[in-house]
Formats: sequence, structure tokens, C-alpha cells
Amino acid sequence: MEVLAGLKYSKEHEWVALEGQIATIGITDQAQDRLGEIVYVELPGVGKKISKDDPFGIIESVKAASDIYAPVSGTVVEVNEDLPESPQVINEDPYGDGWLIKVRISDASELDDLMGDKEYEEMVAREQE
Amino acid sequence: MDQLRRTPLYGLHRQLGARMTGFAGFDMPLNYSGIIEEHQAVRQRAGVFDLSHMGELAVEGQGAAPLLERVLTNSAGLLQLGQAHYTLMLNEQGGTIDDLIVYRKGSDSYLLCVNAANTDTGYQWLARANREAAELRNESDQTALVAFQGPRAAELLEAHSKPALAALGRFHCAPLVLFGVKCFAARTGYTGEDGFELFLDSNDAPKVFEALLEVGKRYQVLPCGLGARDTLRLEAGLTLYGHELDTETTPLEAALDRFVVFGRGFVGEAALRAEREGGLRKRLLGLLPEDSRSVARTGYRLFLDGRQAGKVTSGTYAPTLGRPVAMGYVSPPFANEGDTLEVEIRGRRISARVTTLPFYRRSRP
Repeated sequence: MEVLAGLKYSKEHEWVALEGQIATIGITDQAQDRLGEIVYVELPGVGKKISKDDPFGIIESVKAASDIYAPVSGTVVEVNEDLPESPQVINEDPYGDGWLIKVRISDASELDDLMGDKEYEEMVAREQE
Repeated sequence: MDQLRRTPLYGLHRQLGARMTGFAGFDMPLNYSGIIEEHQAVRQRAGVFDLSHMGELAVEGQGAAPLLERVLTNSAGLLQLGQAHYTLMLNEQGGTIDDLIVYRKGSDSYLLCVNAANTDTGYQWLARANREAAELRNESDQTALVAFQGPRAAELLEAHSKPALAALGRFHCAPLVLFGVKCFAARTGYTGEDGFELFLDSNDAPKVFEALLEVGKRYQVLPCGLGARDTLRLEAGLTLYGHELDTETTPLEAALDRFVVFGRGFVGEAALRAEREGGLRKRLLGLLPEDSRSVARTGYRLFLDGRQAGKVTSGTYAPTLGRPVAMGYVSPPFANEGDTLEVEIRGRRISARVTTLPFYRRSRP
């Protein structure tokens, strides 16, 4: 399982990459592996507000439908337009081309609640015990 | 939670990197490489499944045929030696206790392959009904079941069995030696493809499972888990106990009429007759959700003209069709093929076209 340094991670297995006020959000390698082959993705439109810890979208794999929880609050400024056509990109490249949305964050201090890569790795290891 | 049981192939599954899941009390492979890849392997080439969780009940002696005639919906008395058929075990109300395959192994010897979750219930039901004094044995613990399914299955095994497996007709069965191992083989399956199910002594299972993967290398045959088993059977329109069938559901409601032979006085027959005359309380339909962006899953509600009409019993993304499919029950007045229902997916109602089952039918050579 791959965990990238420099990203922030949520307990719900989302990652956040912050550049200025814009946070790119995706799901982790661990999450995509658990879900299995992803077949559909439902994401909010540009301009929609999302709130930390609330579901903002749905990922459907062959096995099940799973909520995606917002790791931070903010307003959606961009959505990955390639996902409806090729949702399997999330399985193939969860930290790269498989990103989900970009949001303008409303409260930078929320980032402090998220984990660093080491801490996230430890949490995953604990979950697997 | 009770400890999950392991099949004789558990060690091999771990070695092959399977993702495991609890199913009917067993720790079973959900998938190895991935559900879609495994699904496609079976549709295009072949796949190997561990089905050792399933139950095997032996029914033997002079009382065997008369007992089975009385407790099963299909007429076991019609089976020739070396023949098998799909059948159901009902309670007096016509509700389904289990659905199973009966194999006629000898003149007075039958093998019942039953659902893992129903093995004990089925055995006890037979034992209580057994006024014919048939010999009953639950052989599930010492029996492993491996399925080899797909269009290349027969060809791949041609050189490895004596007598030739390929000589078995669809729904026929015979004892034979495969890879030097004695087994009871049947040309049956649960995938909508050609293929075989191999009943083995538990100790022999790993050898046969590995040998199947080895001979299958030529066609990239894959080990397949319960995930692909479910998508394959759903595309093929096959019912799954606990989803489409339960003690509240009759075979007529499940559109399994062709496996019911009336006029024999089997347990549940009177209830089925009454239902046939009075009209079905519900009926199983195939559904094609028209917004192909979300999957209608088990328990989702169905609506017809704004009123709740039933529920989805199984739904998935169908890899061969590249779209979602579902099955579900609706109450009367029944929708017909081509009609449109609505399925509620996360609070949104989405149109779903009623279609006949199966969703997928293999082309026959």
C-alpha cells in the first residue's frame, strides 16, 4: 500500500493536498484497494459547499456504494471531469489522475485535525490487526 | 461472533493473495485479482472457484427416490443414472427451505448439493420427513467442491480425465479420475457458462485446484472468488438463496415454475396450487436502471406509478453488459416486460425498465 509524504489524511481514508487556499481531495490507495473496482462516482458540482466530516459524494464499486466524507470544509472550485468516463483511474492512480475535487477551504485550522503520512500508516496498520 | 470456518483450500487462497470475506459462516475468497477481471476470465476463458462451503447430503437406499419425490419440487424419479437437476425444498406453505441440485450417482444413490447456510436445516428437514427410511448422511465436512467454469473448461481438461469429462452432457455427472485424483464430476454450474463442478475428498482439493490453475495458464485462467460468482450468476438471472429465495417465497413467485412437477403430492404442492389459482402475491422481475450511473442494491425500494411496489433483492454492476442490473419482487398488478418502474437510490427515484431474465445468455457453439 502506498502512502505519500506531504499529504494530509483523514480517518475515512481521504487525502488532502493544500496549495494556498485550494485543497485537492482524493481517496487513498488503501481506500481504493478496499473498495475494489470502481464503476461509478457521484460528485458535487462547482460552487457547492461541503462541510468537514459530512458525505460529499458516493463511490460505487462492484461490491458496494460508499460515501466519501469531506476532510475539510469549503467551496468546490473544480471537479475531476474524467471520472464519469473512466472511474477506474481512481484504482489505478488514487493520488494522481484519480483526484476527486478541488475546494477553496473556509477554515485552514481544520487541516490540523488531519494526520500526516506516518500517523496515517500507523492507523491503517492498526485497522488491519 | 463465532469463529469463521475454513475450507481445505484456505491456505492456498491466502498464498494466492485472496481478499477474504465471511460468507455463511466460512472465511471465503471474495476476490483475488479483481471481481471484473475474474468475471471476464469466466466469460471468455475459464475460472476456478472454491465452493467447499456448500453442503453435500447423501440420500441412499430403496427409500431414497420416494423420499426425494415427496420433499422436492422437481421429480427426482425422472432422473436417469448419471443425471442431475435443479430443484427446491419447500415447507407446507410453499415457502422455500432451500434450492439445490440433485445428482443421481447410482440406482439408489443421490447426492444433494445444498446452500452452505442451509446445510443443517436441510438435513434436519429430510431426517424428520424420512418415513421412507432412506439412509441420510451429511458429508459436507469431508467433501470439497471446486468449480471450473468457462468456455475453455472442457477443452483444457480433455487430456487430464478418465473417462473424458467432455463426454458429459449438460446436467450429467459421473465418477472419474482427474489429475490422478478420484472425484465425482458434473457438468453443472452457477455462472451462465459451460463448465464443471468437482466433488472431491477434502484432502485432494488443493492438488486439484492447483492443477486446474496450472493447465489453465495457457488461457490465463484465474482463481475466482465469491464477488465474481455473484456478478456472474446475476447476469445469468440465477436466484440466490437469502436474496431471491427464502421461506416467505415460493418457486412460482421466483419464476422457477419449470422446476416444479405438479401431481405428485410433494410437500408444499397444495400451497402452490392454491397460489396458482388465487394469483401470485409477488413476482420476480429483471430490472435495467436507465440512469446507468448508480447501482440498485439489495433492499432498495421499487415504485410503480408513485406507490411502493416492492424491493430489489440483488443488484450489481454487470461487467459483461457494462451497466447496472437488478432483480426484485413486485406486488400485483404486475409490470410487464418493457414497462418502467422506479427504484429509489439514496432518496432519488430512477427509472428502471422491466426485462425478462436472464440479462446474459451465452452463445452456444
